[in-house]
Amino acid sequence: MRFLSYLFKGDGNTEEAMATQLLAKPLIPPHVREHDDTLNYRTPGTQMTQPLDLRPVLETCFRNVNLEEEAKTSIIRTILLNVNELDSISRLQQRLDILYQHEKNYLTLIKDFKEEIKFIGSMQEDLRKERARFFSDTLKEVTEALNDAKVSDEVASQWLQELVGTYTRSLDLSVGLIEEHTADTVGVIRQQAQEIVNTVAVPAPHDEPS
Amino acid sequence: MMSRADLFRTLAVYRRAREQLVAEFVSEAPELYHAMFEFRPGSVAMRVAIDRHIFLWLISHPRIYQELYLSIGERESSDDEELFVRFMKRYHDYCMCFILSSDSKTEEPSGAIDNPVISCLLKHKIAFLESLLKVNRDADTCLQGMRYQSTKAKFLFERQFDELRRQKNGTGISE
Repeated sequence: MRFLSYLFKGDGNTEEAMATQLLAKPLIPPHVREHDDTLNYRTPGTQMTQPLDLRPVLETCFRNVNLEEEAKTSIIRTILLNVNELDSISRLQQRLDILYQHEKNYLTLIKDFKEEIKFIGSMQEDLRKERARFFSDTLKEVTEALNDAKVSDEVASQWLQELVGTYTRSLDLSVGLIEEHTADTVGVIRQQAQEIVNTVAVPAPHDEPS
Repeated sequence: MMSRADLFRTLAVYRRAREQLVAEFVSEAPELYHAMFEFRPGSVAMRVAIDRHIFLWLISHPRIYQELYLSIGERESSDDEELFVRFMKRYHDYCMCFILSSDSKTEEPSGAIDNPVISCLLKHKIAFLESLLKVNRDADTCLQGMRYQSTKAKFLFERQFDELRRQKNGTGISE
């Protein structure tokens, strides 16, 4: 605003009136116009705005201005550069907003599943500990019990092999159940994450600032 | 999708079953140790005794579930019944895994049931379980059916065992 006012200052009533008319038109998105002093604004919603074709409007405005063509072109170019810069910042802000929303939703999603993730982790941890304990302590106890009972080494070995096989098979199947549950949970998280992504508008290629 | 309660209960039952499996060895359970002294190592009879032990352990899982989560003589809530039926479906898959590995004839001890008779009994039991789950979603009826099957399986085992004992005392071929 200040830039445009400065540009037309002291150039006569017509120019001032045209500048006022120009500024009154919604050429710049409302959220940009409202906050162009600081550029510290929040984009309302997540939809990307359409690029502005400001040049023909400016040319119409400057048609009757008493200036050399070269000066008019220079002024129009300067205005366009400044407006485009604002527009670029606006688009960047929109993208940042989308990213922020996306990350925020992701974090919310992770928070929602925090207990489930903890639960799965603790189940896996329990099984790992149990497996380690079985091979470090339990088997020793069983071997001692077999020795104390005077079971022959050959028989003890045959039974121990079966015990280890059965025990580890049961452990493996338990791990498999946890993995299945984990895969299901990951599937649900992915599905919900996809739903979040689908709610956020992605800018089309023609929305890229020139 | 398996719920958290489903997973928790199933894992708890399997864990308790493993504890009981080990406890029998550590506490020198007479039934278990008797077989160790009765048959020669590497004999068919010893193999059957081992398979029998695994089979009995395997069929004890629904009882463990009942001990942990079902109140005897009380009507279960519909949630408990649903959980139990879902557990039985997973238990069916669990039993299948013990049989499938025995069909692969691996040399390594895999915790699988080798004996064709016992494997056949387990298959019958699984088939029964399937039919039970198809027609019935009532936990009490399901449990009664499982108890009947366990008693029957035990009886058939004892008959098989007696046959082996007779062979041992007679011709000694099975040893």
